[in-house]
Amino acid sequence: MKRILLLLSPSRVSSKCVEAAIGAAVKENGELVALYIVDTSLSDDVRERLQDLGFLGERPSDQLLEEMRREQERQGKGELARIRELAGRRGVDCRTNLVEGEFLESSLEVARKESADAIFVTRRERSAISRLVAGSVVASLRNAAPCRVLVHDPRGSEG
Amino acid sequence: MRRAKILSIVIALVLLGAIAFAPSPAGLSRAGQNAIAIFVLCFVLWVSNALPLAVTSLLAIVLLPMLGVVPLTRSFALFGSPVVFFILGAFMLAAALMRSGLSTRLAVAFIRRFGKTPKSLIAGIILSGGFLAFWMPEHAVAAMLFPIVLEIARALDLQPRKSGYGAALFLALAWGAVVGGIATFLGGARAPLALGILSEHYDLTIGFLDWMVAVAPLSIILMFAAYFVLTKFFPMDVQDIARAKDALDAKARELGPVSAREKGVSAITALTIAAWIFAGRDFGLAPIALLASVALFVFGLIEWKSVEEYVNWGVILMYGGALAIAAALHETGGAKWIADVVMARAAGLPSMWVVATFALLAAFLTEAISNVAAVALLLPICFGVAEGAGIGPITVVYAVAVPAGLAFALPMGTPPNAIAFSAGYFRLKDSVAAGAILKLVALVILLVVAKFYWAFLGITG
Repeated sequence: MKRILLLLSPSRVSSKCVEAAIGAAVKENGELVALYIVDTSLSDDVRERLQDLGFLGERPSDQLLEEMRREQERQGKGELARIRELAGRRGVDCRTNLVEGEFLESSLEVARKESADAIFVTRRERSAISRLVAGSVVASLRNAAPCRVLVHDPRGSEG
Repeated sequence: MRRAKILSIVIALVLLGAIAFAPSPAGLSRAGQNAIAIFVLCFVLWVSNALPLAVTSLLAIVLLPMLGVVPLTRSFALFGSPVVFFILGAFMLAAALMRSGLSTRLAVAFIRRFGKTPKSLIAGIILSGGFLAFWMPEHAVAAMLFPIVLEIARALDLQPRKSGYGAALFLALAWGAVVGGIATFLGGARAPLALGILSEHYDLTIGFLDWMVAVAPLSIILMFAAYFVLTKFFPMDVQDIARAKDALDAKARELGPVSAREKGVSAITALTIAAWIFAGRDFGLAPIALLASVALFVFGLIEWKSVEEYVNWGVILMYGGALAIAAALHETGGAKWIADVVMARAAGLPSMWVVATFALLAAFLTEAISNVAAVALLLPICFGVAEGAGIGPITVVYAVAVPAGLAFALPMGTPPNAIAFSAGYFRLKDSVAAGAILKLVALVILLVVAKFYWAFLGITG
């Protein structure tokens, strides 16, 4: 049985990508593993802005980030429940997992552990210049993944 | 991200070397040229955030004497500027407001009072953030409001990235804090920095009350504009906010009765603001701020540990460095040389056009970089350009420092936007589109206020 890994995070949620992953699981008569990563690099980014640009102290920053983390976890659980339901309706076996960590690292770890046959992921919404200058996590994922990676672009195309 | 940072540092260093070792153009001294080289280095590092703002400032302070721009003692002396201590005192006061829970209580009370219908709840959040940002830093206000707004969103069961009302709630949080932050010297660090540069260059100052009278009405108008844009742009897909009211009532109950600490902090805050308004010109803003901080300790309203937890001391380094660069550009003639180059192209422009150009530059630069950095980078050059165009330096401070606070579209512009975005209730394209509309509206309002109201006050001619 083929195993399809669907990657999600607070900045990588796309209904089309979810549909594509479920569709692939149906076609391959496979199992869907939906992984929601509470991405710590996002909170690190906010912390950097709060402290480096806003000069907010350690304590209010920590309180805010803890609140943020809880909210991301809550949203992740909601998203995974929705995917379970969608997959169930299409008769696809679905397991869900919520982890906290850096997106690339956590994705690769789970992909290897689950021996995934394909990974479905969506790009973050950002400009081409930002992607060129800052690099792309999806490109790194493609290079390091143990299987093929299907990327859904929020602006339309898939590759 | 790391790749972008390294690239930015390399670009900054290459530009520093290229400018510093190039032959001096006519009319520019070697010291002036090196000051410009350091300014460009800071520009690249501040824009790219390759290093923390404070660390870039430290680098500038070291490079200024090393490249023979200003003597070592002069470079380091600007850490002792009164404006640095004013900010420090104001941050300590804000720490007491947060530590005591008074700021949360005020925010909850404000939102409860206004939150009767879905639209008035949006208005309540804007006004609550705006009013609090009159008296404490806008990013602290946004951080404090975040859990309250999150509680409201959860109570209403709003769907992240799907509910228009959810998007409006979180943008109300950010925009309220942003527009409130321009009203006084306490809402954001850019106005005090502008004041410090003004004082270093021209030995002039602007009173706490003078600033408030000039800018607070604009801030209030912009709160209405923000409300209008949010309620028109995003579908109000919520009919009943009863559960949000219940959540706010529960939050109010959780806060309990007003504590002695809250009463003490509110009394000292009120007295401090009154002293800034009525005695600021006589005694200076910084001594009053520091006296207020001492009073907080005398009456046991805050402990040093809390100050350390709530205040980020990097602010002192950032300010010292920004003031040193501005002073170096001014004293070496570097700012005047850049201004002469700019003015050669802008000769003959009416002064109102020049002021409008300053405002536009500040308004757009601040979307991409820290608003404090925008002021630090623009003001020294704009002062030079304004001298050539016959525009007073006080006009320039308003024209740069006020729009530099108005970042609405991008999360990287200012911490309140980053905080609101991180909740995940709106997409980047939502804030870019709605923020661009508000930016346009805000600029039109700002120019009308500058043309008529500020002219009436004698700020613009």
